Amino acid sequence: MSLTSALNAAQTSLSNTSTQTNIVSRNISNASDPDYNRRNAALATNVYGAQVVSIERAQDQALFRQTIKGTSAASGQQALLSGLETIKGIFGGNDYETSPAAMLGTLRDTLSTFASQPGESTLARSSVADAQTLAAGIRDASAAVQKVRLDTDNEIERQVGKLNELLARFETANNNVTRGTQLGGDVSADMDERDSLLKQISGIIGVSTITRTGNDVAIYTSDGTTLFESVPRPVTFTPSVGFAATVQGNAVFVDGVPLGAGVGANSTAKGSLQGLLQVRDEMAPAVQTHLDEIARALIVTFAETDQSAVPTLPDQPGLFTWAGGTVPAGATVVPGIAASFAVNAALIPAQGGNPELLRDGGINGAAYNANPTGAASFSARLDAFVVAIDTPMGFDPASGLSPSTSVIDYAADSLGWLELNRSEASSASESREAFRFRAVEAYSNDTGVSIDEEMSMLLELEQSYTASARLISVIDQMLEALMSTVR
Amino acid sequence: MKTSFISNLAMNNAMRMTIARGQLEIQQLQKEAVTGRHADIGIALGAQTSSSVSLGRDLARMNTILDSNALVSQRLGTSQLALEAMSNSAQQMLETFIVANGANDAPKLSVMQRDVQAALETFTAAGNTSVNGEYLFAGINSDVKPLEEYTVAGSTPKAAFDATFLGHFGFAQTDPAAAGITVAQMDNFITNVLEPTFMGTDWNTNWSSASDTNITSRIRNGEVVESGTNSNSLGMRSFALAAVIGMELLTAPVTSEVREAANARAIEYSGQAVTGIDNQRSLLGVSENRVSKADVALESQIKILKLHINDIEGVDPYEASTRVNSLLAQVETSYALTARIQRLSLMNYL
Repeated sequence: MSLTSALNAAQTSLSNTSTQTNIVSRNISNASDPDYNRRNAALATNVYGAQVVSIERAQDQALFRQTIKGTSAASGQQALLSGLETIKGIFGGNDYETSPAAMLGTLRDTLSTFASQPGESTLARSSVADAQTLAAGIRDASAAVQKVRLDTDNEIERQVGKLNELLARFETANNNVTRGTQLGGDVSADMDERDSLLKQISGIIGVSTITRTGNDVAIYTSDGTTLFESVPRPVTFTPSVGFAATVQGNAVFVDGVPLGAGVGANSTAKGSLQGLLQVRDEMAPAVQTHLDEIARALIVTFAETDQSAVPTLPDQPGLFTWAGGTVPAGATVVPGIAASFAVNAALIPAQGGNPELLRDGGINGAAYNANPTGAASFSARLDAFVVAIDTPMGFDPASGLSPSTSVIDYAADSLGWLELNRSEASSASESREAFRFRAVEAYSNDTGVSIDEEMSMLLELEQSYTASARLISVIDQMLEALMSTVR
Repeated sequence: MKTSFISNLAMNNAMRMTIARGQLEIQQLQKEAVTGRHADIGIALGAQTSSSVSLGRDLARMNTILDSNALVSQRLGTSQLALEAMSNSAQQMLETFIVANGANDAPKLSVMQRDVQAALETFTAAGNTSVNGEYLFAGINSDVKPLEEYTVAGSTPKAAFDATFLGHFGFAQTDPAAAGITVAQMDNFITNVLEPTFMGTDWNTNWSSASDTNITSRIRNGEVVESGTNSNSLGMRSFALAAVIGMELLTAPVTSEVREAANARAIEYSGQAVTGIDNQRSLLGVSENRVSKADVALESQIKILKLHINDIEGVDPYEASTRVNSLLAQVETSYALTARIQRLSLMNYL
């Protein structure tokens, strides 16, 4: 050993310290960046003392996978919940003021009052007015449900666009990482970028990753479809122009394979896309079916029947009618009937109709008139309506609610179905959000920056720097002493 | 070497979720403490929301029926008053006929005629009583005045009687030829000619425009009562028949035997009128009783429903306010802790 090698070692130490200080200051400056992983300068020993060999980036694949999983599940559940919240909003607040159930209740009460005073033409008018409110309410609700589907469809398009853009950026980041790894450079910044993109991608679609040789990452969807392998696979989606009860939305294709929708209120959706698909293709259409069934049941309940001794004429729409203008036969849902559901113009005073026809019948001709003498206090038909609203009738079992119940209970059941799903989705969303939060927290604790630790390391580096500097000056003095002897 | 297992980011975020949750819950609990109901019924009840909605509708329906029952009670009560007046005038007419029995002199007969006419007018007026624009005794035909007036000029029933008499005997009842009518002839006329015009369908043409169908009202779910009666009842027909005999036949220039026989029939019909009208009163009384029982039942049902709805939708406001207080303390602790943790840094000691 010679003084020169001691000087070399001290110099190396100085250079190490400056590299380490650089790392510390980078760590501190990124302390509040959630996508930043802590760096560490790994030292190795050689003949000249310690030398910085590599910059290590803190990683924990298991926790990172948890984070990604948590993000997907929370984001899918959140998409479903906000869809359900929007649908619930259609039916009013805590009292469900604008729900068919509430408006039908009001109509029933008015009809009941009208039945006790059938001669009052103001009551005839207010009954028809209530019926108009109900019809408009059902129509509006149907339109609003389809609007929810359209908005969701547009949101899917936006998310697919964003996903494709993220995948393109992922390709760049991944290429940088693999190239950097081959060249043996510091790829930490690129890996941060890549992880950050992966987190964003996992919010849109559930993914799993495989890291291959050369630090190359391939992404697969939760269903196993390839999303990224060296190059991004195309995610395609054709948005629909408009929605109606009979219009099906288009599927999202990942590399040509259709993406499945989430199932259940405690949704299986991984990522917002599946949650949105579930709202568009499952929840909103179910509510539409309920509205269609309510509309159909009301047309049937208020239909006019042939009053002749031997009835030969078919039933005709009475108080309520629709674009088809017939009374639908059988307990089968008529898709989209709610969209054209309306009060018969023959009863609306503003359209030249006569509201008193509600009491007697006969909108469709004299054969349907139950009160041919025009007796003012004829209440049998009105009372029959009030009773019929409460009488069980047949509903399409395909609608998922009770197949035999009264129309007013069916309307209430429909709300029950919606609220059951919303309630479950809400509690599932809370627990998934909590899971995501904990996963992110655990990952951040493991890979994030602690300023305290960096500061204490800085103190250590300061000491080491001072010691090295002192060493150099001592060696300098020793060399000086040596030189003076020689001189 | 990594020695710590906490990152600054995680530390700063740690309290965030607690605070956000706490604030959200405070807002909801405040609402609950004030309204006494769940802040979001759908989330709280889930599928049970449907029964909450149904119960609310049922409650509204019962209140509506209660309101319309008040109307029914009013109609029934007024009908009772009118029927009482009719019954009283039938009784007076009966007494008039009994007093007039055997009277043949003109002044007594004219007093009798005046009394019978007064009774008939009272009867007609009572029969044409209306409430809220509905004629009470018209059956369901409630927008038409049910009883024709006999004593006004151009009266339909008067003309019909005159025609019937003339058609049978060949001369008017005021004609002196009436003195030739025998007791048997008069009896035959009353029983076989006059009575059928009152008891048969002619009644509906000449006297009454009422419908035979009575107004019915639903006074409770599943209970419908007749909430009115009509002027086609046996009692009302008999009243009119007795009055017509009294006013037309007893004052006709007939022999005293014939008059006595006619008076006997008038007494008989007046008796039938009293019984018939009292019968109607008791029928309406039954309806009145059912309405008041239905009201009692409805009111107790409403109370039970309200309790039930409160069980489902309600929250304990005391519990809610207690929870608000403890949550406020919790959130304040979070704030204090967050602030202190933020201050906790090695930097302060270097």
